[in-house]
Amino acid sequence: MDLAHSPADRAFRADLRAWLAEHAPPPMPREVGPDLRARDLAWQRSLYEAGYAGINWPVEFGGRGLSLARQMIWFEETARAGISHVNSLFVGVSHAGPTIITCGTDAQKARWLPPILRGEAIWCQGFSEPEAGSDLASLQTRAVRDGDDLVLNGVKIWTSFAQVADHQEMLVRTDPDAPKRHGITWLVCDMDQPGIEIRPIRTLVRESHFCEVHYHDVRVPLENVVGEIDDGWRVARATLAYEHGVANLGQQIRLARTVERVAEAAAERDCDAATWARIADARADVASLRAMTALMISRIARQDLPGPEGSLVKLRYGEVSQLVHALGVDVLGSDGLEFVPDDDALVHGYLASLAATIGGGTSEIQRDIVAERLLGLPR
Amino acid sequence: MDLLPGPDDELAVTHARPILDAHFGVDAWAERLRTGAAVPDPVVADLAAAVRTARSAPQAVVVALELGRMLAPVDTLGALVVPEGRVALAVSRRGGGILRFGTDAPDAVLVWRADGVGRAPSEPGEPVDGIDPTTPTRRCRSDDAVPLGPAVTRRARAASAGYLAGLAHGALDLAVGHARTRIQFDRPIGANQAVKHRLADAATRAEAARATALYAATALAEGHADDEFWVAAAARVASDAADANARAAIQVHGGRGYTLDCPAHLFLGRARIVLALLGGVPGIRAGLTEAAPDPSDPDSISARARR
Repeated sequence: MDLAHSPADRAFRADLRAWLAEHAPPPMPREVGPDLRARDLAWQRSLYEAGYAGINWPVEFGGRGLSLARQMIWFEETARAGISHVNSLFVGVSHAGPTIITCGTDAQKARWLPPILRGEAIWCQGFSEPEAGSDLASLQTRAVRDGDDLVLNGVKIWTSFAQVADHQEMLVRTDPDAPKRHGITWLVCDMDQPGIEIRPIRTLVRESHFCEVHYHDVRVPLENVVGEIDDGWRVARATLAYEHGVANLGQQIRLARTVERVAEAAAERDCDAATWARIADARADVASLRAMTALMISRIARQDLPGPEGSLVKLRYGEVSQLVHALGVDVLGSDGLEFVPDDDALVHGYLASLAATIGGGTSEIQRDIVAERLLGLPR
Repeated sequence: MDLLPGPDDELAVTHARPILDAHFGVDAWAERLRTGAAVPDPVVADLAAAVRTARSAPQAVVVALELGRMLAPVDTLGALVVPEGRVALAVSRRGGGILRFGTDAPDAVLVWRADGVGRAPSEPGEPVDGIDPTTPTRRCRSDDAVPLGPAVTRRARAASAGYLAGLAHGALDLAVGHARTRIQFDRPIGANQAVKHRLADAATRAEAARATALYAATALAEGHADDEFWVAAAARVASDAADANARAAIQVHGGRGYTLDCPAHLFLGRARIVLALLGGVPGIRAGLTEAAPDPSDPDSISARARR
């Protein structure tokens, strides 16, 4: 057992920290548009040129081929430098890319993976539909074969950054007569196709990166199918494993900093003993998230794909995040009644934390996964 | 970074496992609860000897996890703190004296206080009906204890957190086993989301407790400046998990869970005793009054090792 402080780890961290001090990107624009796209792609390009992109991706696709523990150091140092990793690059780097590494053909890997790390392409995700949320396998967006193409019709929802994306990882229904998990296909849809209509959705934090995307006779070539036709559920399991597991390594680091901002606010306001007791508990809870993340990384290092244990971390993260931010606005009192459009503001975090038990699979679904797949309880 | 115990970390577990499998765990305890039999003294002595092979903090915490999971007597934790003989554990009582847990004729008594663990002489004391019916409990007059120092205290507290995390896992396993096999409304009760989700939450608490205890053990072994924070965090998370999971196990067993025949309450009683050793919830929180040094700051990490 060790906590990643070998001389090589320390050198990696020190070099990265020095580099970040010189090369931090400008803040993210709040409007999703050309400025945000240009900012994110330029940031990714500079990471790539410095050797800090795709830390744990294979070298042949432009990655560094290093351990997940090094990737963890990357998350720690970027968080320390105040750089949010939740941007338009997230889907490509953290789950569409890893899915293609796991399930794509050589030609698909060569075509799609290098541009992700080089900062030449933005990806978005089209899994959920208005009528297929927790019951994802009931999705109805149809893909009908026509020559060498599939023709898409339907609606996807909760697609972050669709406005600026080049490609979309999608689940579509190719066989409406098969049992629902068997007639699904995982494919890549280019977002510049005619017939795609994007409608942004406003959220509690006044952002509009979520979109509803409508497809009217959109053509996708068969070569864009990853895995086999009708075998998309298997591919999707890989995507969801990455999404639930590895993709969120950085979140708990941010949350540890938030607890200390709450403590500072409590000190300024002479808060009572009960508040300080909640702060002490929050420190322990956030520490447990760091430890769970470390344990998860240790397990993943011994297997090919993140297992259902990722759901344990996601479940606890959602709860702890909401506890910490509720504590934050309790401490602020009437100072917490004005919305502040800044990711670091406690009131912003309080509203944003409500998504932590919903997005990427609700906590109710995560509990089903834990109970059925880890504990072996009947479906 | 690697938090999964390797063969070296499992050393003491390897020695303890045959004894734990043969004499402890919920089935052995269910049998004892039925017959009123006590654990034979030589078995406890053998277990203590096996536990004492733990040297490093990870070895101590990893074996403590197994002790908790298998419902080993709480006083076997003493074998991780004092190098010889039978050891009982004790906390100060309000109004003077101590409440002592474990063997009736100890060679040494470890008194757990807010400022650290100390060693007190043994006295006969007066038996009381303790919160856990399988842990002999006595009131004693003297609370003169010689402090054993901060390093021993840190190790004792880290091992306690491990034991509590083990209790959380043991209670979870017992509850899951029952939920899979108990039939009501023509199906296992574990098919219902109300039961399933209660157990998923228990699994999350158990995982958090285990991970934090292993992290604290590793921080201790590597001599991190923030190791005391990690021990306190592990104690807070693991005591909460042990208590909540024991109550979940009792609830899932329904009416049987409320009886002395069902081993679920053994997890609860042991959890309350070990929590008291750690100073209760307020005592543990006292170790969390300052922010942890930034774990990503290599300069803060090995301060103790350099000192």
